[in-house]
Amino acid sequence: MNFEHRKERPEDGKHRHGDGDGRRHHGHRGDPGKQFHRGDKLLKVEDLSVEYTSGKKVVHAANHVSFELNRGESLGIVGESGCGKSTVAKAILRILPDRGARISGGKIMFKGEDLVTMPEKTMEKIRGAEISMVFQDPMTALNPVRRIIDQVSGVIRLHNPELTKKEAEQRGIDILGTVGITPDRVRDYPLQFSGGMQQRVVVAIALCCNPELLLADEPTTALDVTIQAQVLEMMKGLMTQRNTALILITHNLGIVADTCDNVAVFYGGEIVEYGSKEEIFKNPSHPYTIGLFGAVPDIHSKVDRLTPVAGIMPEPSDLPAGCKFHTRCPYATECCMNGDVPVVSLGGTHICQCHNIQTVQEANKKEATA
Amino acid sequence: MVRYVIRRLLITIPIIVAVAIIVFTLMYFVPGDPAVLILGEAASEEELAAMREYLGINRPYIVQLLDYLKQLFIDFDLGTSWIYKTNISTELYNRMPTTFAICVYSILVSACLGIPLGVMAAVNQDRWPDKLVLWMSSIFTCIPNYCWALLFIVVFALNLGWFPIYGVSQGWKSYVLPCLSILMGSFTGLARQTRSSMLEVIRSDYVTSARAQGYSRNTVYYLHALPNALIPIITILGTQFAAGLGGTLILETIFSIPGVGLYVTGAITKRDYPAVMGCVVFLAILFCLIMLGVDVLYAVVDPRVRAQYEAKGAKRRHKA
Repeated sequence: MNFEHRKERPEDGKHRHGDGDGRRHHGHRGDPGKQFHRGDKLLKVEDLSVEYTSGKKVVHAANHVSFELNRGESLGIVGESGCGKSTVAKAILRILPDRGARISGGKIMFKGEDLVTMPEKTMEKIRGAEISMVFQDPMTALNPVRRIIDQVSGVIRLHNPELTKKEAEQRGIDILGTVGITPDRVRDYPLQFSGGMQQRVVVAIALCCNPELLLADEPTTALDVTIQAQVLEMMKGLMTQRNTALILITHNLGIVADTCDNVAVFYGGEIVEYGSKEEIFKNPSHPYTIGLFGAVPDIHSKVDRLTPVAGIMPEPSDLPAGCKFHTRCPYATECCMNGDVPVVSLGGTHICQCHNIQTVQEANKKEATA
Repeated sequence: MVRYVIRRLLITIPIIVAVAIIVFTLMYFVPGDPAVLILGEAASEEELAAMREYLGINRPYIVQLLDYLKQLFIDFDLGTSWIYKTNISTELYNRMPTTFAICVYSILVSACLGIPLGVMAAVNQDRWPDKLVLWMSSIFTCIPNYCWALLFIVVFALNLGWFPIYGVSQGWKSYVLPCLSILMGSFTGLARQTRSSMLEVIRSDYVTSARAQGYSRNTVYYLHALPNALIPIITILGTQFAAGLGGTLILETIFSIPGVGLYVTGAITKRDYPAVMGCVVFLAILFCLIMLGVDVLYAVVDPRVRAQYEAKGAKRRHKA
């Protein structure tokens, strides 16, 4: 799962978005009249900034993040721990910690409405029903003292108050069935389930109200590799069926290649490179992205050590001026140390935030041919 | 589960034996001659010798100890008081309900006040309700319950005359001041414990998950977080209750309440060794049983603990 994607390029066309032929018509999502097409705009994040305050220290967890997501599409957010990936997802759902965290700027337009300014009551109706989230660790994401079925049917009833308890439970059992939990296990408690089963329950809860957008925050990190594949396949299947859009947060490039249409590379709370999967995987342009790909082991070459991205991530409370990556960047020059970094368009949707894009690309090409 | 309870009951036996041995040894080595205490300084040497012979305290330590253990664990007899010449078991049986009532009432009210206060503090962390609860608990837990007792006697009994000053002759009214005195320290402590337990649960992933699933803040706090936060509180309540049964002696003395505490205090001051030992052993048994009750309750509310007990049982069966 993890090791195969450095050389093996994803096939063209299969997931291509935007062009007329590649657009698939999924439609229907269960209720008639609510027909949506893959490609309609669903989410537009504009200039989103989030900061955490603790005492006098201000941590800029996300800085001027912008991206778009169409219905049925999937976006992979890649970056190392602490770069603000989860913060963005939590900001979209507005479940940032009560104390200290604050959306300090920007808009999150979901189906034309701004989630940032939305009243809490309306937000509660959206959470779990229209946007839902899968968390990293299934072992802690389920309430340990409630039965599995109660946790699933509880959410179903919350968003469909017209259902009786029995109907909600039946629907819960059906949904658990689709993720492979048999009816004789639904009255168990989370502790009686394995990690993989728990994550399937979490996915079932997230998808039980047919959300239009699923935020998956490292959904497979806590699982072992075989279970990872199983859970991902299942998630992908269910989402294609329902035409759900996906934001997948991960640091596993293999999973991104497998699952996503578009990729956003995060560093220091910013998107340093954005593009379609093909663009990013064929032509990684930001020095950090190149470094990330360099760190993926290649199954065909024999090396003793992996190549890490040199240095460590700067403290989010103490980010450097200028380009956030310049402290670790092999191509860094004087101009990277301060001022705004230009966003360079590389054709198509592909953009990259770098001063020395030419130098980087040339160096990269030379290395590839060598 | 049943296996677990049986096993725990069996473990209780050595604990009680150990308690009995320790208390007996302590009492044996306490300086002072019980015969002198009973007969007074004026008694002649022959009278004292006769009394020692009668009490059996002229025998060697080990003989006395074994004799006491036999009396406790084979005859199931706590013995007879030297001073009052009455059976200690009967005495405890008569006095227990009073002490029990004080403990039950104060614990119940303490839970009803402390838990909601703790939740309120946790939910409003760092805002004024939280600060109020924290300040209140720091101050109240610092003041020992006998200070409250004296204060309440002066204000509510002497000045206002609402409640009796001592005794249990006036029904529920007699219990108000003693219970209130215990309560002042315990409910604030409980509020503090609930607060920290609740804060821990609120930060956990499944609470964030519940928010992400669309539950409102209050539903998440009271339906999802509170049941988890209450699990450790059960232990605290159990311990407070058990400690209360043995620990009301000062209050019972202040209010002259004929409970177990007053009996123990009397026995200690009069060197009534069988009575002291009998009470300690009795309270030890009670303590063990309450703790067992707490652990069983634990299993009822927390499926993780239940699974643990069941797994242990299964392992034993497997070995057999």
